[in-house]
Formats: sequence, structure tokens, C-alpha cells
Amino acid sequence: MSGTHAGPMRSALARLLFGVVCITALTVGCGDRAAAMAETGAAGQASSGPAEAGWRDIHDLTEARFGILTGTVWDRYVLDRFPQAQLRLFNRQADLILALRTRKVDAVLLDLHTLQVAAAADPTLAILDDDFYDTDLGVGFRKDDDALRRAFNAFLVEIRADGTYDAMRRRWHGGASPPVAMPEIPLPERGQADEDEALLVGMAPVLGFPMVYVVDGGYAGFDIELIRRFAAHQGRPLTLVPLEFDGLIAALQAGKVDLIISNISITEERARLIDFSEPYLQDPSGALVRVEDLAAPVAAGSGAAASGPTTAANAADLPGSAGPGWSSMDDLADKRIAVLMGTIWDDFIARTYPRANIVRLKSTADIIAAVETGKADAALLVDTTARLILKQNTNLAILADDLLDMPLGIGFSRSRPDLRERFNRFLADIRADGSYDAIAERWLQNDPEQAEMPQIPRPASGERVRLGVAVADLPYLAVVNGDYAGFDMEILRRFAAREGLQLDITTYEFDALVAALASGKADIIADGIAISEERARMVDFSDPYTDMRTVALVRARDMAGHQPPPAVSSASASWSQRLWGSIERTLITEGRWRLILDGILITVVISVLSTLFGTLLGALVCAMRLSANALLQRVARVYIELVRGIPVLVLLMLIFYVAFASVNIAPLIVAVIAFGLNFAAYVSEMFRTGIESVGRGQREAGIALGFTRVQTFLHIVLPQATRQVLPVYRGEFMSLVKMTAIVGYIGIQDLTRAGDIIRSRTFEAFFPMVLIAAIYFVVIWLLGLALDHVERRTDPRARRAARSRA
Amino acid sequence: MIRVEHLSKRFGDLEVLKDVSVEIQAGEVISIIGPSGTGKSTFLRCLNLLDQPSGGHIVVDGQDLMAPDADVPALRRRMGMVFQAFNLFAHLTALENVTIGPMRLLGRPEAEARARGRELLGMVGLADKADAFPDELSGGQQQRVAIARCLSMDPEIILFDEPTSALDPTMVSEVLAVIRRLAREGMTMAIVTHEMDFARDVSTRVLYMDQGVIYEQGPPSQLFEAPQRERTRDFIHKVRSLRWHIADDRFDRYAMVGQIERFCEKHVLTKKTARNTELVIEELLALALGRAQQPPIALTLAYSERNKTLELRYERAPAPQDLSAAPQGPSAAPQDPLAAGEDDDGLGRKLIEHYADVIDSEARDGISRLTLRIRHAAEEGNGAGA
Repeated sequence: MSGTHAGPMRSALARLLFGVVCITALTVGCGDRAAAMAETGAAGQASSGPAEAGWRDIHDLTEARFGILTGTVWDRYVLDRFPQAQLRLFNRQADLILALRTRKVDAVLLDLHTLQVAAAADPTLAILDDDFYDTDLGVGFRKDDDALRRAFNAFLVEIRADGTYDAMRRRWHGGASPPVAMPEIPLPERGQADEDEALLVGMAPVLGFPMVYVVDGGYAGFDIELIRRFAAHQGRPLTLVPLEFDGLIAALQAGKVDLIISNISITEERARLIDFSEPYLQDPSGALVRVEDLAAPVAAGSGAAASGPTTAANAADLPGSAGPGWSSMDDLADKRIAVLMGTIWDDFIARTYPRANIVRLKSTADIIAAVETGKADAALLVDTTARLILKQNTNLAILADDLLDMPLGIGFSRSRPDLRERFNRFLADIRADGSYDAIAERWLQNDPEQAEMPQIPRPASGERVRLGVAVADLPYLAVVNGDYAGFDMEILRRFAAREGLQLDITTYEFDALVAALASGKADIIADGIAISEERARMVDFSDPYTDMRTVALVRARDMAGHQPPPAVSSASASWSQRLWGSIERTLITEGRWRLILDGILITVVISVLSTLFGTLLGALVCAMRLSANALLQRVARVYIELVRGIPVLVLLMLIFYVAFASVNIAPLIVAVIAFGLNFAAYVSEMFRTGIESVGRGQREAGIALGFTRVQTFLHIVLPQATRQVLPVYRGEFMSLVKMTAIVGYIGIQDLTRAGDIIRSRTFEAFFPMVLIAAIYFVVIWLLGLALDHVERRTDPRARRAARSRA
Repeated sequence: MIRVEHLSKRFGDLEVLKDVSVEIQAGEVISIIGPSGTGKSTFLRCLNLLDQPSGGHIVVDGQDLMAPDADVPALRRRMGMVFQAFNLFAHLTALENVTIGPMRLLGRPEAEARARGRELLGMVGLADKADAFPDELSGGQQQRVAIARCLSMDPEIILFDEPTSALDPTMVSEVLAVIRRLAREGMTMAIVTHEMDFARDVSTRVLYMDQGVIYEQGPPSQLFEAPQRERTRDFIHKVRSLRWHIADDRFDRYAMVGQIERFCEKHVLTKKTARNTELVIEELLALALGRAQQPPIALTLAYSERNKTLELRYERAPAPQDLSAAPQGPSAAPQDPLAAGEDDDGLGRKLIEHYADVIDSEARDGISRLTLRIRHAAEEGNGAGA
């Protein structure tokens, strides 16, 4: 009760610092520790499960716990072959995998294709055996429905003959991972004829990829494609009826569906109840187990490849095993490729490797992180950038560097053809007099990180030109030592110096550059922008000022001929040294701490201004909402519903790009307006709740005493309402501060953007992000303290507590 | 000081105050009593315009409160109000509650207001609770602070709206004590209350409100000892009653029987009593009805909790406008039903007299009244049996 007043503050601070230190240490140490573990070998860690030696094939599973999908054939198999094993039944494939991961079962039996997908997605699981049990899959028909069955068999013969079947096999069973695009198969419309026309097909989406799975609100998969083709063949509309796997046969027999398909194995037992089509697929079964339960592979590097692509790919973390061994870009034809959002590589991949899965990310650092952590298999980058990254990162390697050469251009606004002309002339001139070569040598041939941006005089007067850049990375444009630098930057500065122009530089997201130019927010845009047809429609490009070479970066161990490094090296740097290294790179090098400081200032300014604006506006809206005037009430209600129903990001962009389209308004003001509008909607409802919660008797007493209605509100209702409202208000305020992280979209360099910029140079994922998170936390905490102060002054309980302590 | 003229108030379709006129002089202590729902609180709340009257005038020292240019908040400052639910300002301490009015409305400096506030709190016996918040005080204490709050504004009249109805009996007296003191010191007050003894002690005048009007008013001695009018009497004597209006013998006897049984049950009278009552009424009506062109009968069955008496009142009076038009002559005028008639055998009378005593009987000028007291178990001591 008393005497601990100074205490809470100090202990809270201590807890805070402790927490931050913990998180930082954990995450910095974490990534490398995992790698260290992998390299020292997982087989050495005996865990619950198999005997010391580990399992080699399914016959070792004599006493294991099997996970089986309800209603499938494998339970029979296990009961017959492994009488001492335990059987656990699950309803969903996802539950099976989870059970395996969490050691509730030791092995999962399912069709091989499905398991391959699961193993590819989770490096801790691997296929133990794929050679023990094959079943034939068939489509089920009612006993009396001979005509339909014969029609299907005839259909099956046809598609085998004309190559459709093979194409389907390749599409679904070629090792691709989901999602795979379903081909267009036009079907007749339902509702034209009567309902009998539609083919009712029972299937079980629980099975998952690649046979039957749910995507985008619909169904896809090998079985789905097969049955769609059949429906088209029969000229009938198709109705897919989702059921549980073990309810398929019952539904068929009851006449609820005309046929059933879902990886159904043809068994004697089932054949007694229903009629099967001819087998349409040989389905090998697989046993999926945890990687750590596998027996160690025989020899380093040699034996691993022999066990087949599926096991090797999953055992990539084991010592001495090779990855998939890619040697060219074609090996990535159906893999996941990470590219920067809004770049030409997106289009390039879509055209050249249509089966590949494109992962679009916002920054180069994110792309690198994706490849490193296995979220993507390869990344497309500018070659100079890639080489920079490889200097620090030994886990990655260049797979191919002859993919695509694109000319780069500086983008000019349609309304400034004069600028473009001047630039083109400038470009021609510096090419002729040799200065272009010097610049290119500095940034593109030598190590751009060693390059120093030369001192180029900046005109103090002259026409102001707005330049939009994305600080994606060197060598084209980045922030070095607190200022913009890079190949593009040097060229533009020289251009500005020669032409007597003042450059007003604003940073945008890369994919917002063209929009900025088009909406008149920028006159010139730059940062390694490749000239493409599509862009040329919106942007007037200068003459190409350089060529850009694209490379594909992959994980080093996935490359053919990769020799894993000796296990010793990794553990050399202690985690505290690594931590210090991160701190140095993130904060100290080039004085990057200044970026962060500026970012904090911007974030705080936006937050505080938005809060003030939003609170005042909210009070106004609340007054309208509570007024007797029906029109005012209406307006207030509409405002509240509307603003609360739109995401803040969308609101922000609407205001910036649409409402203030050609207006030269500072983005900061737009941010304050947008966040303020949003805040006001929530605040007004809060106020209303607070006010209405003050008892009627309080008002009556005030009136009876002789206060006017306004005075009663101010002196009696408001203090009590405020006390109710403050906790929630504080929460909304904290939300607002966090929401400001999106202002990068309209070119404001706040704390989050500062973090992004730093990451774009260090390519580290963890430390900068953790640091930014910690800073946000501290900022919000401090601002919250200020609110606490207000709360204490208005809360009678606090006053009472203060009084009793006094 | 306050003159109320033809005040009326309706909430939607419900007319709570029909026509209230009264004058309150300085120094008076007016108690307002009456059954629930008859508009007592509404009347009080109209006096300071907390509820807006539908019609009529309220004139305070010559100023009509309902005039469009009236400065109502200023007039309210001269009147204080004490609520049933205390309504202390929850975010202020007791002392702050008592000082906020003078400081903000009367512009008194803080030191002066606080000094006076402490004085007032001392007067109501709560000097040591000056820094307590309302939720730290008991109900009685809160109400006393509320009274002090009123006093801090130096009002000319204080309105009390059931000040003790929300208090348990132990705390009622402490609040009444404060009010008594105020009365002694000559404060003008209007109090709506259910505390009859208190009202009798402290008031200079009592208003009995019923059915939206001031039904009866007078000094406490009159209202409490000798109420003039029937409903006042019923109220004072805590009489509960059933009434019927019977025009001819086509009334619903069975409904009547049911009502009598429920009534007796409610007042813990025996079934025997109920049956006796039914018999008496039946006989009486048999005697009374049957002649043509008689005005309707008003029959009241009344039970006094106080005196434990069960009375049956019979009244037959022509409506005023009928008097002149009524056919003259003995056959048309209402008569005492118990008087001997032409073709009756006296059996009914005997029956009635077996179960009841005639308290009062009157038959003249075309009006016939009869009051019977029905004997019942409590009176008969060991009167059990069938």
C-alpha cells in the first residue's frame, strides 16, 4: 500500500531492460546455433523413438506408433504386418503431420505424393521408405450404375492415349509444391437444364495436395482435374461435394453422389460395397518420419544421392549430404523464386518459367532472408548487389548469371520533356569526355562499398526538381554515411550541378516510384529502374545509362558440387562477439544511429500530432453524435462507421494519392490527417461510452444545484467520463503509434523505414528488426507514462491513494 | 414565496399531475404524502423545473419560472434539492461536493468556501469525513452531505424528494434529525416522504396528493388525526379497499366473489370471513336492487390495517344533474335498503345483522348511505368453526 512509490518505476525499468537483452541475445544467437546443430549432426542426438541405430526402412517399425488417416487402407496394412505396433487414427492430413512432429506418433503412412509435399515443406521430416506397398486408385461407382462406370473407363482410355494423362501426371506429380495452377477446363453451366444433369462427385479435401486440396475457395488437385475432365467429356455440369474420407462410400451408396474420387485404393472389402473403375493411378505409399529418427547415411556425400531425390532433399541438414544439386536456372523451373516487388524480374520469371512459384518481397534484405531460411529456393538480384551480399554471406552462391540483361533508365515525368532532353544531352556528354567511365568504374566495377561519393557542388539556387528514389541498395542508390550515394546518385548530382538544379529527394518504396511519378509527386525517379514496355507507358525514360545483369542466388548447399564446410568453423565466434558485430553494423558504421534517431523523431511527431488532432476531432464528432439534432447525429454516425471500416493504410494512400493528387503537400501533414481521422472515429465512440456511463443522477444533482447544462457537463460529467475512458484511450494511442509504421508508403522516413534502410545495407534479418521493435516499445512506453500522469491527476482513486500516503 | 397555479404534467399518454395549485410561504415546512405513483415526486421535480411541466405556472418571488426568458439556473441556485439516491458527485470528496457550488456558481473564494464547507459538514455531524469520497460513506452519511451541499448555496427553500426512502431504518433517524434541526431553524422546506410520524412532527402543513391533484391539505393535526375526506382517511388509516359500481342486477357476481376472496386472502382474513362478506353483500344488494330507475350503487369493502376492521360502505346517490330531473316520489328516491319494505320478510335483514353491525346509516335528500362493520375472526376471539 504505502512506501513503494519509487519502487515500481525502477523495477519496471529493470524488467524492461532485462527483457530486451534477453530477446536480442536469443535471436542473434539463435540463427547460428541452429546451423551449428545441423552441422554437428542430428543423428547423434538420441531421442525417444527408434533404437540407437535409427530406422532404415519400414520393417524397422515393428513397435512404432503409426499415424493413419481414418478410413484409409493403411490401417489394414499395419494391423496385418505389424501386430505389435500401435495405430492412431486421425481425420485430417494436417493433424497427422502435427502428431508426427510433436512425437505423438512415430511414422505416418499415406500416399507417397502427399508425403513428398509434406517432407518438402518441413525439413525435420523425411520419407523413410517408399517401396513397401503400392495400391491402385480407382473411382467409386454404385453397384447398379454400370453405364457411368463404363463411360469413365472409356474416358480413361482416351486420355491415356492422347497424352492428357501424362501431362496431368507431370503437373501434379512432378515434384511441384502447392499451389499449382489448375488448367482451364470449361464445363457447361448449371441451371440451364434441370438438376439431374449435374454430375455429383463426392471427394475428401482433407487429403491435401497433390490429389485433392482447397485453394482460393475452390478445389484443385490431380483427382479434381481428372474428374473435371470427365465431366467435360460427358458434357455435364459438375458439383463437387466435400465429405469426410470415411463417409465417401456411405454417401455413394445412399445416392447422395454419383461417384466418388479421392485417392481411393481399390480393396476387396470396398469392392464388396461399390464398383470401381479401372485403376487410374498406381499409388505408392510412403512412410514419413522425423529426420532425427533416421539411421545415419552411409558415407559423406556418396551414398546419399542413391536413396533418391525425396530423402536426400529432406536430409539436407545432415552432414556430408548434398542438396538437390542444381546446376542451372532450369533446375529452378518449378521452384520458389524470390524477387523484389514491382520489378521486371516478376514478369521475366512468369514468362520464362511459368511453373515457378514467384515470391514477391519488399526489399532485398527480405529476399535474402527468404532464401536463407528456406522460404524461397532462389532469388533474382542485380549482379553487383549479389556480389556485395556474397562478401558477407557464405551460405549463398550464384547459380546463374546470364539470365537477363536489362538497360536501366532514369524516369522522367510526362510533363517535363525538357528535363529529359537535358539529361540525355548530359549523358551523351559525359560518355564522350570519359567521366562516365570513371563513375562506372567507381561503382560498378570496383567494390561499391569501398567507393566514396565524390564532393559534387550542390546549387544553392535554381529550379527545384523533385527526385524520387528507393534506397534499395548499392551500387545504384543507397544511403551511405547519412547521405544518398551510388551510381545513379552520382550521375544525377553531376547532372544537377551542371544544369543548376536543386534536388529535393524523397524516398519511396520501390514499387511506389512509378506511382509517385505518375501522380505528380516526383519529377524524376531513379534507382536501378529497368526500362520495360509497361513502364514506358507511364514514364518517359532517359536513354539507357547502363546495363543491369541479373543473377540467381541460391543456398550454397543446394548447388551441385557443393562441398560442405568443415564442422569446426562455425562455433568460433562466440555469441557475444556476434552480438557486438551486429550492433556495430547496425548502429555505428556510417553513423547509422543518426538515421534511427531521425526516424524516432518523425514517428513521435506524427504520433503526437495525430493524437491531438484526432482527440479534438473525436470530441467534436462525439458532440455531434450526442446532439439532439438528427442531421448532426446522422453525419457523425456515418463518419464513424465509414472510417472504422477502412484499413488505415488504404485511407492513408487514398488521401495522399487521390485526395491530394496534384497538390504539393508535405506527406507528414497527410499522415497526421489520415491517422487523426482514424483516431477520431474511435475516440468519439470512447467518449460517448464514457459520457453515457455517468449516472443520470449526477447530472440531475448538478442541474438542481444551479449549473447550466454545459457547466454540468464540464465539471461533473466530463471528469467522471474521462476516468472511465482513459485506459481504453491509452490503448488506442499505443495502437496509433504502431500504426504509423506504414508511413513509408507515402515517402516518410520514420523509424521503420530507418530500419529498412539499414537492413538494406547489412542484410541482417534479426538484429535490426529486434532493435526497431525494442525502440518502438520504449517510445510507446514513455508516451504511455505521460498519459499515466494525466490519469493520476484525474482519477479520484489515485488522489485518494496519494492522500493516504501523504 | 412560491405559487403554483394549475400545474399539469403528462408523460406521453399518462397524465400524472392533473391540476395542482398551492402556495408555499417562507418558513413553512410542507410535507407531501400520498400513495405511490400519484405524482408527488413529479410535483416536487416540477418546482425547480427538473421535469418540465406540461401546463400551468410556477411563480417564484414574482418570477414565472416557465416564462421563456426566465433565468432558470439562477432561480435554481436559490432552491436546493435533496434526492432519494443522494446523487453526490462521485469524483469529489465530501468537502469538494460542498464547496463546488459556492466556488463555481456563487464565485466565492476557495478559502471561504472551504471554511463554510467544514462548518456545514460539522453541522450535519460529518466534520471528520471531509476528505472522504462518496463511495466511502454510508447511505445516511451521504444524504447528510447532500443536505450540507444544499445548504452551502444558502438556499431560500430546500426540496426533499423522499430523502430517507433508500435508507435502512438505522440510518433514517440520523437524516431526519438533521431535517428536524433545519425546520427548527426556520428553513422553508417541501418534503415528499413516507415517514408519517416524522411528517406529523415537523410539518406546518401537510398535502395529501392523490390521483394527480392535491386531494386534501391542512395542518398535521387535521390530516393525521381527523382526515376529512375518504381517501385521505383510507390512506392515513392504511386502509385498503375494493370498490364496485353497480347499476343493476346484471353485474358480474362471480367476479365479485373472486375479488372478495383474494382481498381477504391478502389481508389474512379467514375463508369464513370471506364467505360471510359475500353473503352480506348479496343480501344487501338483493334488498337494494330490484326497483327501477334507481341510481347506481357504490359499494366499498375496506380493511383498515391499523384498526383491523372490515367495513362495507354502501352509497347510493343520484348524480347532481339527475336531482332536478329525478322523478319525485317515494318510489323513485333511494331508501335505506335495510328499512322494512313492502313485500319483504325481514330475512335478509336478519342475515345481515347476524354477520355485521350497522355503524352508520343515512337516507335523505335522495341519498342513501350505509356503513356496516363485518365481524371477523380477529374480533370474535375464539370464533372458529364453520
